Amino acid sequence: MTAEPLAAALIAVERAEAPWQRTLRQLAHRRLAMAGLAVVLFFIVLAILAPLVSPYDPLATSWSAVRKPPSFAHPFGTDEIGRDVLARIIWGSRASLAAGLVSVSLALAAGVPIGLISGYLGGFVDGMLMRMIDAMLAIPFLILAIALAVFLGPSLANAMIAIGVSQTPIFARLTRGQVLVVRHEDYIEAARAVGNSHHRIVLRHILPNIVPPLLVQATLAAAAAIIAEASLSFLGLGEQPPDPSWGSMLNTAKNFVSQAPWMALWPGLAIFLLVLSLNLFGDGLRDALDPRRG
Amino acid sequence: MVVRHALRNALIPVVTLGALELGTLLSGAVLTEQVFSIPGFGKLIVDAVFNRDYAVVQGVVLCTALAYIFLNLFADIAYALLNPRLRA
Repeated sequence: MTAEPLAAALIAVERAEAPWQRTLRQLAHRRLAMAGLAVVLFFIVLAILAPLVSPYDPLATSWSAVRKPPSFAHPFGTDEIGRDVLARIIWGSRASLAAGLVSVSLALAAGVPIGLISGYLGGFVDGMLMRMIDAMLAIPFLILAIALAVFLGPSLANAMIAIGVSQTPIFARLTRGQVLVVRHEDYIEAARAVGNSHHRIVLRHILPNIVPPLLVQATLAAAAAIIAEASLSFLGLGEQPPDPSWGSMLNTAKNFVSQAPWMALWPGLAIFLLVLSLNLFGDGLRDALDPRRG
Repeated sequence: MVVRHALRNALIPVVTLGALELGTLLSGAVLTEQVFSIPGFGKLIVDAVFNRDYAVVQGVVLCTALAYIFLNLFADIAYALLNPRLRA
């Protein structure tokens, strides 16, 4: 970073501080949230650099190293057909992070427009859309994801679609609720009085003002999506063998818990760490975005 | 006195949260039953998944949704019983 933008940023803080700058400043003060962000970034880097940092091929089997405990050659041990657990954890982070990112993006892309239309138009359209959302919300999240994954067929891409669709109603509901709050604000009325079209009011005046709660929900939903992907993979509906995924690693590991506990420990720990960090970051973000907190 | 006055009011958030957690519970049962081979609803849906038995999958989803809705309804009723202000 050069000195110029930094100086500009400092002046901006002294003058009128932009809301996002205030949020960033607040966020930087929250240790737990920053620790969470650091761990999430670590996993993202790990996933991107998987081919470089992985010590072995995650699919390479070795009959001379079956279910070996952790050692110098295999720091996390090996699994039931001699694959290196560390390599599979590193490559498996791709499946988990992709599931988190793709399914939440899908849920946002589908849920936010539904919520915007429903909240802005109101009346009959609102009633129709919300009853459909209610019907989807009546089915427990994971059961719905399993059912959708079955009809789409088992694969990682389909599992992501299934999770995304299952999360759509949450975003539609949240967006609608926020739109209902915002649409009665004075600036919306002013925008309409000036002669903005409905289209423009929704996209330029309402949408930017409801982004913060959506951002927080997206972070927390990503954590839920990662757990859901691990659950689907655990059941055999996600990533298909032999491709590595933390959930499917746990599934095979459960048969060897007493003889080879390291097979279950590392993927479990990886899921735990990633989800915990995402949740901590989401909580920190929510607090930082709340103007009532100092 | 504690039971009549304190518990009654303290129960309200517990009932709300409990109703919401029921969905998680029903989902979690799928995994728990798979791990411990308990022949329940969760095992039923997973076995149906691997047999491509779509009718059973649909049935389980329908039953779970119904159970979820009714448990939420009971929670709402309990809510009104606990908090007279909500009885409109």
